[in-house]
Amino acid sequence: MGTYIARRLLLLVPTLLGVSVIVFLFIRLIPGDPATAILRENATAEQVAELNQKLGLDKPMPVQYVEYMSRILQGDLGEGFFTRLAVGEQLKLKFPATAELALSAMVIATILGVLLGILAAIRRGSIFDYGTMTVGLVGVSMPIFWLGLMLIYLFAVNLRWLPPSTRGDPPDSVRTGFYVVDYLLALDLDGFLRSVRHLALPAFVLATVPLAVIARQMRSATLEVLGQDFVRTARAKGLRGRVVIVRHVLKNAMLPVITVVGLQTGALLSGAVLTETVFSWPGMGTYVLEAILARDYPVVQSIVLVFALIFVIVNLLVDVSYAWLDPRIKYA
Amino acid sequence: MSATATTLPAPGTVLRRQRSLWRDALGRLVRHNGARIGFVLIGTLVLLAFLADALGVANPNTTFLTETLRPPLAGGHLMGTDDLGRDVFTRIMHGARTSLRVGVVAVGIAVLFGSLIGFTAGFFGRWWDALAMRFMDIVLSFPTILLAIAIVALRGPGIFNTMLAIGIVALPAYARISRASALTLREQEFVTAARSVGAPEGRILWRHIVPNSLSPLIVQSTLGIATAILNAAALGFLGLGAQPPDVEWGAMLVDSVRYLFQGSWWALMFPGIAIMLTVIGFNLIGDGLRDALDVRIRG
Repeated sequence: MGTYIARRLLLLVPTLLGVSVIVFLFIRLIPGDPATAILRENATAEQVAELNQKLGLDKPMPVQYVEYMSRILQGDLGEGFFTRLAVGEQLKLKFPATAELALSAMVIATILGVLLGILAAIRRGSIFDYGTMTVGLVGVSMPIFWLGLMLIYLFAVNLRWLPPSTRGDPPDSVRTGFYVVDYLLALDLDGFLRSVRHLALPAFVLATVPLAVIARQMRSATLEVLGQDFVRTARAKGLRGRVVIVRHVLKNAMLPVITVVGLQTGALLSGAVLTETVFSWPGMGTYVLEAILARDYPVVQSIVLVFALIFVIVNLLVDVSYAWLDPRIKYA
Repeated sequence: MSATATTLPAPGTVLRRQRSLWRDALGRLVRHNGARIGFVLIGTLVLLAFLADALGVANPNTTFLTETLRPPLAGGHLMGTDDLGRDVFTRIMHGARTSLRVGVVAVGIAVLFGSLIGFTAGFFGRWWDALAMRFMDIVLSFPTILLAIAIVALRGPGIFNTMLAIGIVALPAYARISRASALTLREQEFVTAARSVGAPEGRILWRHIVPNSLSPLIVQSTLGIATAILNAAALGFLGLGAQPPDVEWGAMLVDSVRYLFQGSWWALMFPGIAIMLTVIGFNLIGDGLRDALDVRIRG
């Protein structure tokens, strides 16, 4: 196990190097150079040349790449071209916002998805089953930004139950960066409830797609396990239905679901870009989107690398959790 | 005498014309309830896209400044009008053209290049396989929409770049599927047989491997159109998709967000429902195709 994790960690190096090369080339090989794009069309040739020199774009590409990577490896992610703010510092502020949103969404999606999937499987062919699967289909077929807007209209504009956007006021002392947790640690119940209300809509919206996917996967996994001999044996020896489900079925059906949870993380990062935009959530999604739209290449380059890093690490964790959940899986 | 007797079928057997596997699959598909609903949804959509000029206001961009933000059914506007007095229903029909075009072309790009990479990688293997698949892994480690946004933002907004970006982000799925098929099939006996009678490698790939790998590719492309339409709507929503005068559902959504807070929900709700029903339609047909074509499920 230890050697497996070590090998996987080592394999991260070429993948991330590949990602960095592609991001690097991608930005430099597009038609029209970044300097012109930043300065827009009406810039003079001197201005473009000056900016290229400032950005280091006048050097040969391999030199540029080495310089770029050596800065990255020293932990320097560069600074925004327009904002002059250090990308690393910005990420420290924005990452907890996205993480709080994404984790809440994943918790909602996993708990509800597993529950709905099992119930649908147990009551296969019932109205509940069809209902769940229909909701599941609708869930993966909706543009989530549209769902977000409709929910804002319903809960924020019409009913005025929940705030329409942002994270709310930050707590006085930021410890984890998760507002919900920080308010709780400060024993500020009002603040805690306020941040939960701010979190509710975006977290639910972001949870929709993974929830639907997990429910579908859980349903079919449960159906498969329910047909196994050991389930019949468990029933035959007189175990109560609930015990059979929790102790035998759930545990065995969870494995494929873990894969889905892992795979959904990529979708979650994509979804975060849209969800954060709709709810003006000050996270990495809005940050990278603003940078892309403003053609702030240094920022885009670094954030995309961070996104890819998160993604490959989550995939590694998923693979490791297999072995932990299913001792039969051996990694050489 | 005896010769004719032997060609007659034995008593009790029913003469049946041999049917191809594809026809079998088609039969299963049209009996599939989900797929039927999907065909109705997509059929309606295609019809609306074709009849857009006949059914709606002639030009989807015609503005009626005296009739802005009319609610549904008011003044003969089935789905109301938007902030510029444009008929929402007409725009949805014209938007259907855009969405279908983007969905089909983007998936076409992805299937064409993805399967080209996948088949050659799986069939020929060696360094090309290692290189191509490592590259696909890298593409997969970017969040989809982020990569699409980046491509369009760098190349400039518009319908062609939207198709291209969505095609590129979808490419690895097709590459992986066709590579997996090629890997399994190249070890099969009929491939060895073809090789032993002297068929050149290119012919084996084109005549034996590719036709036998079509099922998963067809399923994936149908589901892929659904994803492509969702991604196109997202790009449109961010202002990066099709630009006026092209009508696009995602762009319709972003145009009407501002008026939501004044209570004009229709200009926002109907394009969203159009996107949702279209995506549901393609998803249902895709699921139906999977059931109809997938031999494992069938057996």
